[in-house]
Amino acid sequence: MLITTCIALNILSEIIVSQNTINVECFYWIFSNLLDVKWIFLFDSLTALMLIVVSSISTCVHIYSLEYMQEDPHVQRFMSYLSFFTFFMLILVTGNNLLQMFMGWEGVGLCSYLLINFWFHRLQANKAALKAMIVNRIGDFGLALGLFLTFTTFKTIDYDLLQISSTYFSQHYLTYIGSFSFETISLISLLLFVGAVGKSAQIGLHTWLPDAMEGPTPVSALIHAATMVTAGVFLICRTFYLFEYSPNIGILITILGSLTAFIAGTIGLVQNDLKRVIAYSTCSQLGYMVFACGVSHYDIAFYHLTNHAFFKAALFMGAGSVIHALQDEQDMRKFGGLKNFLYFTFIVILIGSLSLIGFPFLTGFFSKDAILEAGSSFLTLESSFGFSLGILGAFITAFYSVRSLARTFLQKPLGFKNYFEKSHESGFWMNAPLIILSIAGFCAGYLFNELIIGFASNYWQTSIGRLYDNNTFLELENLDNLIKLLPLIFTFLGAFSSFLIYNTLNTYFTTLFLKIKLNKTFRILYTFLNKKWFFDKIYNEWINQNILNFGYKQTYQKVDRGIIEFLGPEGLYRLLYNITTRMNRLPFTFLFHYLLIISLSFLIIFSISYILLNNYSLIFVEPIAINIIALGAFILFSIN
Amino acid sequence: MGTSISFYYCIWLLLKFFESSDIWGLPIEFQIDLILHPSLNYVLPIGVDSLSIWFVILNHLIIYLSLLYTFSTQNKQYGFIYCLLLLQWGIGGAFMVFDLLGFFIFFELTLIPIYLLILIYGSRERKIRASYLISLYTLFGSIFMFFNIFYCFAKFGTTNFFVLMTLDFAPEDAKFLWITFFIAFAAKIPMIPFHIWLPEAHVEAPTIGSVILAALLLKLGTYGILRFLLHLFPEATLYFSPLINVFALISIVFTSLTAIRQIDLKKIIAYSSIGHMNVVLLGMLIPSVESLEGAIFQMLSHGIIAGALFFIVGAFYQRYKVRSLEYFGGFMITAPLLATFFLIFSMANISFPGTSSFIGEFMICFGLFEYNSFAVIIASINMVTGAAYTLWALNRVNFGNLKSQYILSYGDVNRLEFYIFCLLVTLMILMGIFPNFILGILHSVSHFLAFTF
Repeated sequence: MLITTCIALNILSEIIVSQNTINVECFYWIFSNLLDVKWIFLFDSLTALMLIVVSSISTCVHIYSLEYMQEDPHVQRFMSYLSFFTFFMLILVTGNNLLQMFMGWEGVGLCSYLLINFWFHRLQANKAALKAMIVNRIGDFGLALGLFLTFTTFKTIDYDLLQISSTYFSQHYLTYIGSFSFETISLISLLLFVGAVGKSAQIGLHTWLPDAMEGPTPVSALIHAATMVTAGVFLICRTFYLFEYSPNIGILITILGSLTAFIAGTIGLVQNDLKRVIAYSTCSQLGYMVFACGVSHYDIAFYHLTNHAFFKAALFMGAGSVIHALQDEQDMRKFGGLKNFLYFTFIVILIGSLSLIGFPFLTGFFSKDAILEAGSSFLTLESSFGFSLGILGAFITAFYSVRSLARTFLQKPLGFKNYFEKSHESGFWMNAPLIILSIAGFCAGYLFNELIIGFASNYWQTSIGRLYDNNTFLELENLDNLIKLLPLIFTFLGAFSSFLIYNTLNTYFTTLFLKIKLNKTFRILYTFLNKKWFFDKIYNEWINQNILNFGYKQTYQKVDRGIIEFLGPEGLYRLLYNITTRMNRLPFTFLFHYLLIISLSFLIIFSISYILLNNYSLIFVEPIAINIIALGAFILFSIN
Repeated sequence: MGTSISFYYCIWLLLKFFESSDIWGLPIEFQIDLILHPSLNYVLPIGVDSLSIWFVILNHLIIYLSLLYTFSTQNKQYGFIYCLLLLQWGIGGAFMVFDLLGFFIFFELTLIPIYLLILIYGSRERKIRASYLISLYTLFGSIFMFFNIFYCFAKFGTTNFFVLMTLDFAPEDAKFLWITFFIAFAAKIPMIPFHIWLPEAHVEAPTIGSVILAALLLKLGTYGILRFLLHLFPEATLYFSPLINVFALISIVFTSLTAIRQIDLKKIIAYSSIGHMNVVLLGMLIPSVESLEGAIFQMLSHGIIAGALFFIVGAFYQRYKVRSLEYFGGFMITAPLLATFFLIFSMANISFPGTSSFIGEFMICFGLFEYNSFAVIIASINMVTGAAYTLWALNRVNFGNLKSQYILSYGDVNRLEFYIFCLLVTLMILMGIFPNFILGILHSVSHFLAFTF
């Protein structure tokens, strides 16, 4: 892992210095007519930066889990799953074509399933893992269709060829059933975006991410905060040229991203599980990234991705440290006053939280501010909608971050005395990655700022760009100062109000908040938020249950066991049984009665077949039929 | 011993093929004309070409592994082994023969041993019904095929594949022959509405019976379509393909929805194999090289994956004497290796990238999308529902609480099972990341088929 990180750093410096892309070509994967796919590993600016994120955080998590999972008997299995995850993530990042990317994409989904399910004797973990995998497969369904459509349109799935040829297909239309016609590129980017929605937990398919917190905490840090969930954003940045030529999808992305940022934040306000709060904040931050992609600022989205990975991993691992110290207790209502016990962890989580809410000159500040500025620089309806939701989101982020900080570390201790007495700071192997990540979360934004989103930086080369029409960097630089300060003001407002309510030094605001809380309308709102906007309820009780019932009542009972059985074996059996019982009731006593029946039925069958199929394949039948007729006549006459 | 010799002989044949794989057109290698009797004026051409070589190898591989498995688990059941050898002969013959009547004979010949396997070596009372169903449906299809072959003989004077290839059929003749052939094959694939024998037969058959049924017998239907319908009646294929595609799509969606609610492990896999075989069928009826190659590849990969899954279920059955999902749980603790193999093959079953079925299904979809994108969209629903039922079964068996009260014998895979699974995993992964060693040989036949359309 360490070696991988060093190599990744080397690649990054190589790409910064020499400014070229490297293709490592291995061998053919699929070769069939027009479909030729090779194993090629691509290293360009985007990959290099993502490699840094993946490998460094993965290394930290590996080291961290050495101690965190020390007492688990299945620790080998855990470590191998983690490494397997990193492998697939690297495949995803370095793939040169969509199919190779898809392999990594599915692979990280599988590893996520296995790792959420790591403590498999817990029913909740099982449910969460299944949910994560199946919801992700819905996204993959869209992504796979996008792949097929890409291949059908472009006859290639290599990134570089797609990038070159996307211009020529910008006016290409698909027509369905006469009048419906779509722009092909828009359709492709819509389908790819469905994949990104599944993986990056945007509204609609976000329900798996909070549930995924049932897994061990290092897993949450690595997969569900830093790397895997950002794969959707990575995909959008990777195929930005498709999204650039489909402005309608851009509107959709903007709206969906900002809605996610807002809705996930509001749910995060009322969660009591420490990890779930962080999970919802991840969801909300992913919404910000997708929003930035929607307004064509892929570089800023990617910048936020990098920064978010560092501080969110630090935050998660700090939370893991807290949970570890308190005998695996995750409920914030049983925390409190931990700053006296876990001072080091407090600092780490403080840095992480402040960075998350965008405290000036910490990592999160640079990217989040840039996203909101980018949103405001577009003078369209959807981007102003996104901007206002984003600002509200900033308020909410600050509120819940300070809330969880205060409830965990500042309030009066509310848990069991026993736990607090036993609580202890973690050992070296858990603290070392925390130090590294909190330093990164502290200053990575400042260090990379000019390189990644700087005005004159030529870091990105051709791996990220935007159309001339969408280029708003001049507006970005000349924004009104008030608008530039607006997010910051909202952030401080949120943080301050939250601090007033949840800190125990001054009880006035706390009691005031309690009074509001007991109000009826507030309770309705609270229930609505606490039930996560009823997404789960709708999915589980309306959609899934109906599909399951259909699978049993219709396709199994009615079709398989009903119609087909009736027309097939069971019906045949009943038919024969009925005929034979009726035949038994007929008053037949002598042999010649049976002979009569046999000869008559032969007669009827052959005459019918002779009339219906009057062709020479049945000619050889004719003499036989005549013979039988003669025989029947003879028998009849002889009897009489 | 004899089986292993024939298995190695097959591999030698394969190597020969690699030497001559640059031939385009329809290379027929190693052909023998069996003259049954001089007075009959009937020649039975037997040979291997680039289409059938892989199926012949699959046949030998699966039967070889089944025989090994039989030797280790059952002591001296000669009837069982005779049935297996008869199956090998029948299936191999059906793959190799270039004659309609010969194909019919071998096709029917496979029914007898599998019927006996289910009837004699099955475990429950219900096996009588299962064997009744399998023979009923196969014979139902065979009536049409039988009639069809006689029609062919009466009209054209021959049933020889090569002679028929040179003929131009009148459109009515072609359509009539196509649909009557197809009913016989549809019962074998199986496709809605002829599919209900398969879950019954799988559940009642012994492990080896299920393995052979899923891995080999289902392939006879699709192989027959490839060999006879596509080669002889290309126009009729195009004429009927929308209808058949609709049926295949219904099969895919309905069986995957049904499979979600099943609790018998073998039934789940049986329904999933109906779904996969219908995906194969979707890919075969269009003139696209990618999807034809994908369909052939998917047949091979399904042979390996379904075979392995039934081997694994057999291993579970040995330890529990039950196949109902309610009794399973926590296999990761008692048998980690077996659980891992089950995990790998379940992933292969949901066409996880890197496994062989991914290549097959994606190639089918890549080719099909250009011709019929709605079919691809509906077939891709299988990605979600397939994941749902496979993962549900996987989760119930591998994870969850250990229900030790139901376990009869603890123990991980034994040596033989380990070797079998390792071999199959290796093959599957190899086919998944380096499929070209199979596709390379298939190029000639798929180009030939796609351009005769």
